[in-house]
Amino acid sequence: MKKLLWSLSVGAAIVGGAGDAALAQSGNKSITIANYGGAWAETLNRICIEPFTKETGITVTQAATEDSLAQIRVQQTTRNILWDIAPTERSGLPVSSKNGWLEPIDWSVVDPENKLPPVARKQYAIGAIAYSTTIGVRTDKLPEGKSFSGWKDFWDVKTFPGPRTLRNSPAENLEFALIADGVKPSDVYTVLRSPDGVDRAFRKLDEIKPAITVWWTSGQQPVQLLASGEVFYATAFNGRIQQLQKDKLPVKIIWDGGSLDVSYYSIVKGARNMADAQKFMNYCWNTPTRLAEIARAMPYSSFNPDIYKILSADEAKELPTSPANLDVQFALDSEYWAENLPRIQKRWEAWRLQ
Amino acid sequence: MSDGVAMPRDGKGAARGRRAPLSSLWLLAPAAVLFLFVFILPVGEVALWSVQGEAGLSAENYEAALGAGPYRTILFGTLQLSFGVACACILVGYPAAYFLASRPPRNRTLLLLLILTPLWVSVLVRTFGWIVVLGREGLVNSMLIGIGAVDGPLQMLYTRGAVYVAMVQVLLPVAILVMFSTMTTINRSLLMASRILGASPWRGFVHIFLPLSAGGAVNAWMLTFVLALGFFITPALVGGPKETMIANLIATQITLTLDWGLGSALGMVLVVAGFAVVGAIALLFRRVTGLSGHGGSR
Repeated sequence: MKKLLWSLSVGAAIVGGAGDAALAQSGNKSITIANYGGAWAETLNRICIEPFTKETGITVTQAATEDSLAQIRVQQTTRNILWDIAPTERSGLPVSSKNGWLEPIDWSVVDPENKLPPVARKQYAIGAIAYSTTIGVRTDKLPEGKSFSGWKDFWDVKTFPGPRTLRNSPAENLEFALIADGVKPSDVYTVLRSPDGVDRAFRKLDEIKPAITVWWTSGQQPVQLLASGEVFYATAFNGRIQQLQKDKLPVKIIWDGGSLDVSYYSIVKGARNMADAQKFMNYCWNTPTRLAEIARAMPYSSFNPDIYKILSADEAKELPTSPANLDVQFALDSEYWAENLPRIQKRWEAWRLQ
Repeated sequence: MSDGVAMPRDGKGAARGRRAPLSSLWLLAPAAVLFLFVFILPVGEVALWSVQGEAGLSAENYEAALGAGPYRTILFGTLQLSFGVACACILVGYPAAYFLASRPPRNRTLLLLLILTPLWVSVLVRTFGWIVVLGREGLVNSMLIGIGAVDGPLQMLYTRGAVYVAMVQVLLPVAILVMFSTMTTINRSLLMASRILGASPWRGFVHIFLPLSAGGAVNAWMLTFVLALGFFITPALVGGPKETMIANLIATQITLTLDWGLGSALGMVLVVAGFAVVGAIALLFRRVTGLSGHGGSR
C-alpha cells in the first residue's frame, strides 16, 4: 500500500507542480493556511493576516483542522490540494517530508538574515513558535512546607500524595519517566534509542500508573481537571496553565524537564501559491515585532532571539523559548517518534489495559 | 462487492408475503444511488486498504487487529460495554415508554418534548455535565461529605459506572422513542378484552402487551447497541483506560500513526461484529417468539 500511496503522491506532485506554475502566471493572489483554530487563529488573524492583506493585497484564508497529517495525506493522494501552508508538528514533519508531500522552504525569502536557529530552520518547515508540555501544580494541595520541583517529585507519591493526570500518549511520557529515573533531559533520546531504553521507561511508568486517575486526550482537559480539583498534578501546555493563573487559581508551572514542542508550518507539495506563502511565513513568523506581539497575546514564543530585545524580562520568563526556560527543557524529537510511534503506540495501549 | 444489487434484494426480503410489483422498484433508485456513492464505494475502498500489505494482498492488518493483544481486548471490551449500555437503556426506557404510550394523545406531546430536549444539547456538553456532577469535588461528593455519609471523596469519575451512566443518558431518549412508537400501535381493546375474560391486569400485560411491544424493544436495543459501538468522546472523558473504545483506536491509527491499513481493518471488524450481533439477536428473537421485529398489531 505504501508503494501505491507513494507513487500517487509523486503523481500528485507532478500534476500539482504544473498547475502551480500556470496559476502563478495568472497572478492568483490568495493563500490558504491550515491551523488548529481557536484562540491561535484569532491571534494570527489580528497580528498577521489583516495587516498582511492590507499591505500586499493578498487574501489569506484560514482553514481549521484537527488532524493535519491525515489531511495532508488525503490531499496528496487525491491530488486535490486545498492548502498552501499546513501545520506539521510532531511526527507530521518527518512523515510528510519522507513521503515527499512538502516543498522546501526558500530561506532567502523566509529568513534572509539567518536569525533562526537550526531547530526552527528545517529544510521543509519553519518553526513558527514553540510551546511546552510542563507540570502544573495545585499549590494549595501541596503538603505543608514541601516544594515541588520536577519529575522526581511527580513520581514521589509518598511525599506528594494525590491524583495525577498525564496525556494519553507514549510520546513525551516515556521521556518524562526517564527523567524521573535520573536521566538528564539532554540525554533522554540517547537512552531511549539504546536497547533497554524503552523498557526502562515503561518500568518507571509502572510505578506511577496507580496514581494516574485519568489519561487526558484534549489540551483543555488537564486544565479543567486542575481547576476542579480532580487532580493535583498534571501535564499541560504552558499557555493553558498560564490561563488558570490569570483566573487567580493557585497553580504553578514547573519548567524543569518540560517537553519543548515546536509548532512547524510547511508548504505542501503542489500548493497553488508558493511564492506568497513564503512571503507570509517571513511576514508573520520571522518578524520580531509581530512575534513579540504574538508572545504577548499567547505565551507561545518564537526562536528568533530578537524578540527578547523587545519583550521585558518579566514577559520573557513566562515564555518557553526564553533562555532560562530553554536550558532546563528537552526538545521533543519528532524524528524518533515518527520512526517508533506505531510500534510503541501498540505497546502503550496494551500497557494501559493491564 | 455487489451490495449495489443487494439493496433491492433486502427491500424485497422485508416485504415478504406482500410482494411489491417489480415496476415500483425505481422508487428505491434515489436512495440506492445515494447509498452507493456515499456508503458502499467509500466503505469498499476502506475494505481494500485493510487487505493491502507492502506487497499485494495481505491479512497482516487483520492478524494485528484480531490476534491476541490490546486491539482484540479493546474490541471485546467495546462489544461488552455496548451490550450492557443497550440492555440498561431498554430496562430504564421501557417503563417510561409504557407510561408515555398510556397517556391520552394530547398529553403526550409535552412529555415527548421533555424526553427530546436532551437531544438538542451537544453530547460533549452533557458529558462535561457528568464531570461536574461526579467529580471529586462535584455535586454528589459534596453532598455525601456534607451529610457525613462518607469521610473522603468517592472515586466515581473515570470508572466503568460513570461511562454507563453517561452513555445511557445520551442514548435513552432514542430507546424510549423507538419503543414508544411501537407501543402506540398496539390495539388497547385487546387488553380490555382480556380483562372482560377475567385476566388480571398483570396477566393481560404479560400475555398481550409485552409480546406485542417486544419487537419495539428489540429494535430499540439494536439501535442503541449500534450507536454505542461508535461512541468515543464520552468514554474517553469519563472512563478509565479499560473503557477505551475501538473507535478511539481507529482515530489513533488514522490521524496519529497514519497506519490506515490497521485503522481500516479495525473499522471493518467493527462493522462485521456489529452486523453479527444485531443479526444474531434479530434471528434469535424471531425463533423464540415467532414475531417479526416490527411488533404490534396494526
